[in-house]
Amino acid sequence: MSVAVFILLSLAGGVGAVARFVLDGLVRSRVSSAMPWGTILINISGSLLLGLVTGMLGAQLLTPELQLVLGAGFLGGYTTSSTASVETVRLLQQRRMVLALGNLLGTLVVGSAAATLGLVLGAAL
Amino acid sequence: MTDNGPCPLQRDAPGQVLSLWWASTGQETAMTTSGRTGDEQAARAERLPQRPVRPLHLQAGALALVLLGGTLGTAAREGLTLVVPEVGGFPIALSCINLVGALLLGVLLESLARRGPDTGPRRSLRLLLGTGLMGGFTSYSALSLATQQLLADGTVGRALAFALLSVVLGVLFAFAGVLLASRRRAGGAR
Repeated sequence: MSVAVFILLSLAGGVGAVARFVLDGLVRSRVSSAMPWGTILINISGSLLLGLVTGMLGAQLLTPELQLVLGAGFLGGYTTSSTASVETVRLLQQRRMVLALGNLLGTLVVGSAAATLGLVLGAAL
Repeated sequence: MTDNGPCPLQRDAPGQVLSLWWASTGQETAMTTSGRTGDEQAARAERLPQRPVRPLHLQAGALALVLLGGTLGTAAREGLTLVVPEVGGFPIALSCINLVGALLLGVLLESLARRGPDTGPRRSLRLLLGTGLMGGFTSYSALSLATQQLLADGTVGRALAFALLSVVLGVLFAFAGVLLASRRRAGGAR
């Protein structure tokens, strides 16, 4: 990987983190729930989009460099597993076992399904 | 870090830089500086309700902190991913990154929450190191895609084991981080 691609990829990750921060803030200001819907939405949509750009790479609709900047960069910075883990811990601490399990497994199952869907869509474009 | 409570030199130096940066965005810092008198504080408190407060996720200073942290976190993740090879088809680098990130985020958020309300330098640190650095360092989309690829390879058992271990260990590491921070804080404060 060239230095230019690495720098672009890192900056794209920073922009992705900002997008996550803004979207999570918007969701929090509109939905008051113990369930961390912002992070769930972000991680599932990010998984869908990573599948999409990876499928587009396979269909040669994107160059490998652009796929890296968008996939590992923007979407890597946009999605976060550390926040999802800490939010599950917070739900467990509040004894909300069903929500904790739903957050943990729901994001995993729907996220992986979304990545699959994205991959199929990207390859079909 | 010592166990004997706050160390002024270590903690105040970066905190001041952050709070100055913060102040330059027009955001009120709730951490009072030593030079401010009670009257000034009361006057500020009176003015506060009349000014429409922009939500945090739309403040330029907050966005800049998240951008900086997210860029550095992404660079660290990509650097490690390039250096550490996959082992037996499993993205070991990604797993380690997500576990270390969960542990550190647990330590950070619990330490900050125990030091006081989410305002001023504490909030700046949360945005820079938590939302930005750890958020950018760890990745969920890559975990979803790796699970999908293990499934597509026809190794359903391996895919399930990898995915479940990743998220369950992530929660355990985050919990360990929370415990570490609460033990250290409880031991140091008394």
